[in-house]
Amino acid sequence: MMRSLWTAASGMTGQQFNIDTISNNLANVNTTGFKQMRADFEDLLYQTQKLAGTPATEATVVPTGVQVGHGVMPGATQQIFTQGALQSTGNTGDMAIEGEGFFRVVQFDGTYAYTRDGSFKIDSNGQLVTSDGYKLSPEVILPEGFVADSLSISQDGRITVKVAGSDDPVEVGQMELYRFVNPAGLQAIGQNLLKVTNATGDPIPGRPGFDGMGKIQQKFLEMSNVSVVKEMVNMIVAQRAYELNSRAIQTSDSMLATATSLKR
Amino acid sequence: MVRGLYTAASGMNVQQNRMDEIANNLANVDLNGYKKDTAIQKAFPEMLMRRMNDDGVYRFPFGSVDASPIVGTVGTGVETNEVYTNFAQGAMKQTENPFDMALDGRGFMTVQTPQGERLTRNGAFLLNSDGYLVTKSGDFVLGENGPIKLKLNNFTIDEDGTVWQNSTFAADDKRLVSQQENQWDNIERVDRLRIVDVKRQRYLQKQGDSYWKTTDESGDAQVIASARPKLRQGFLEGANVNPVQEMVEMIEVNRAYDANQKTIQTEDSLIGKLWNEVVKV
Repeated sequence: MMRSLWTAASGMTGQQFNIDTISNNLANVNTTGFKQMRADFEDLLYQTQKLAGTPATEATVVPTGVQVGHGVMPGATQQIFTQGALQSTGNTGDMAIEGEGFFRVVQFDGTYAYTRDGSFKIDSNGQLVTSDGYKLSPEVILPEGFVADSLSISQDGRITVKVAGSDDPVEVGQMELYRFVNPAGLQAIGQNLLKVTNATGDPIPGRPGFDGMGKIQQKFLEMSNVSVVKEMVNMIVAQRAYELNSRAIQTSDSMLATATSLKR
Repeated sequence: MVRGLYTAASGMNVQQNRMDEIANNLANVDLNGYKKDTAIQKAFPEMLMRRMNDDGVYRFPFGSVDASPIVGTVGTGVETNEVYTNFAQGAMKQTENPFDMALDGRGFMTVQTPQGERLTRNGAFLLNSDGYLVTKSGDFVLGENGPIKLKLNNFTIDEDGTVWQNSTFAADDKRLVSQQENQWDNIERVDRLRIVDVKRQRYLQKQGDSYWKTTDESGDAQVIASARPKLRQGFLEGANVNPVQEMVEMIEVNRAYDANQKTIQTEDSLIGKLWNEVVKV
């Protein structure tokens, strides 16, 4: 049948995938620490109908061949790790990373996951956990009888808290941040968490504010870095591209109908 | 049989080829660095027509000879001769991602694949886990001295394609850099991106994955020494497909296809008349 039907269909599937990515970005426009995703495309294999360089006559060769493409496929989705805007919350458990790096949390199965979402809470054991109950790693356990409002985290990640009956703050832990050679290779696993893959390289730990790590800003949250205007423009482009490809299918279809009506 | 039948069929085949190219252009309308293809047709060889057994016959006492005067030529149809890639510049899209690169002008970036060096204009690059600049397929992007090792926030690429880094942070692989702390105190030249061109771009072969391969006809890829295309970091080059033009071409293809079909139907009805009405025994 006509190749163009499938080629245009691959274009439509590709644009649908593009819209999927864009709508996920827009859905997460208010998600803390969310990083914008981008769909990148690759063209599919080319079929060679006439090979360049084959002899045309005894003395000459065919200079150019006839190659026809087979459409497009999604090549990769890439997370763009630019800094999101910082939003003041006034909540002592909230932290934002200003600069590079990720928080590390322990999942229930004991494996590590990484996140930029710093909306930590204090659980019943006095431990810092994410909204889903995953423990911050390295662990931070607040002493018994601590005063909740006195939790203080410095820009370099030292955690201090006051205990009831004493005025002197007690140092209870040191936060660590983690970086990757290729953060774009991190795999998003939902719940604002990211997982290490072979492509990221090993996590490189460091103290906040030192050796290229970002600073920690307490009582702030990092908003998503999705730019609504950009996404809207991308959406328009994707929709129009989808329409164009559907026209190509319609044209191919009407050509097929013409071919079919050859025999009356 | 009736010659026009096959002539018109060749016309339909060629329009179908053109439609394939248009569909491929439209499918790739959003692909970075895509260059559109155009199918180019050529006529089949023309046949010389002579008039036989007419006033051109000379009779002699011992026989006759047919001088068959030439009445003209007749075409026998059309075929797809070449798929021509239009290397016109695509639009620049700003992304603000330091790993995105676009070329402004004639030339290609070079990529090392397992099959050999390939050329590309799709500059959506990444770092791999060892810190080398790679494409989305994981192939090394080449500088003039081989693959390029970089660190996020510690490199910049100028218009010439020269890669600079701050050597303060370059030595230790485990020492990553943040944007704020980088003072750019010890600027060092890393390499220059291998930006090449070939003698005859027309003969490059498309490979998929946004790659081109050099062929014997295109000539080898040569590093451009002067008049290099401007490299724009933080930009991507859009496809150079013009949707309006493609739509107009699609209409044209559709109508040409219809016209050829009508020719076949006419020929068909001619043959039908011949068999059913003229040849009555």
